[in-house]
Amino acid sequence: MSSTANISKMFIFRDVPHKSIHELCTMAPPVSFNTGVTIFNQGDESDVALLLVEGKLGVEVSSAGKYRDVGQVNMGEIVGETALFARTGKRSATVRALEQSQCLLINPELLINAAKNPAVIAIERHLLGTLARRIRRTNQETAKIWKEFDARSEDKEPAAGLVTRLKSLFGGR
Amino acid sequence: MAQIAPADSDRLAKRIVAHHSFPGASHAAIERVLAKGDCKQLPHGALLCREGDPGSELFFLVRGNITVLRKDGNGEDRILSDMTCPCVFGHMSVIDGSRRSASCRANGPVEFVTLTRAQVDILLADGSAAGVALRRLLIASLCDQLSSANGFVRKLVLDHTDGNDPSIQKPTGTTSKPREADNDLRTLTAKLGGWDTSLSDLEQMEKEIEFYMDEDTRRTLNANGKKS
Repeated sequence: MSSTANISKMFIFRDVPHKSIHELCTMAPPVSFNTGVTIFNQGDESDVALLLVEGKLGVEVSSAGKYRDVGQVNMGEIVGETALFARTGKRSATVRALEQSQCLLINPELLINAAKNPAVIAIERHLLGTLARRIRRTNQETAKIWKEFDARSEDKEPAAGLVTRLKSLFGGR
Repeated sequence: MAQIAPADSDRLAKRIVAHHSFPGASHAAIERVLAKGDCKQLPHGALLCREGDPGSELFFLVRGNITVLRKDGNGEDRILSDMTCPCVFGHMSVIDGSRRSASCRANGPVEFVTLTRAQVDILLADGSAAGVALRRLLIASLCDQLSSANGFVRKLVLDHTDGNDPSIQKPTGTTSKPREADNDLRTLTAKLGGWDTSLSDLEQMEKEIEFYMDEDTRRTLNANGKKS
């Protein structure tokens, strides 16, 4: 089965005409990564986001020479969008292929030249939902930690417990 | 329905484009978005949106200042932040259908442009210049919001680290500032007070999203199964 056919079956493209998917794949051909390959490194400067169309990616944050797993990227998810839409422009984490994976590379040229393509519109709408979900989840997790911390505020070293929990969620940097 | 004055639209659009970074950013396209909205004015103390209400519209602040408030566990309003022009706010509820997580009150007379949820839905699905501009502006705004939230937590962790934990690497030249850390903790207390009310909604939303992801995975697996 061709890449275009595979991508057409993805849920985020459920309402997108096949022709538009084909145009997307012509402008941004899917790129394959072998298992174990580092796709980008924390601290790298970049302006490319990835849409995972096949496989699985791992996200790591390094601190003091140690790597800490902070999550996985599954099929249909986008990673690295901050490089496209925020001023920082630097990768906040390292991303590796956990298995043979295939990604669409979303760069500024694609977004400018294919702005009206329904597939690009679908990616952007998907990204809006993803970001809203991440913000809510971050706030929710932080709130839960804070509630626990607040309930134990009479402990001798409450801040240490809070920091440990925050570290486990956000890494050590 | 009142339209934003051309001079105000030009000024606001240019400031928005200067403030947010997104591919293809164009102040002319932002002006087209603003032209679709309703321009309103409210006096000092008026509420623009109320915590817990459905998100029926998003706002562009044209002139004045807004105070963001959230009720704590005792039902008292806590001030989370102040916003000035240029800013877009109230979009989270419009995007994900959740209820307002905070109230916004005019701090002095304010002028703002609103887009209804229906207008936003149309623009978010639209390939026009205005649609592209609104989608990307909202993505950029959410990216900034997420970076800010993560940065705040990381700073909190750094400020509470005394250097004894080898797993935490502080940037060169950073020193621990206990007094600043205490202020951060107080800010966090204010920001997170009274968050219980929306947790069930969030958990429901998470389940729905997981369902979609599972559905996506299932479809692809089915397709691969048929292939083999």
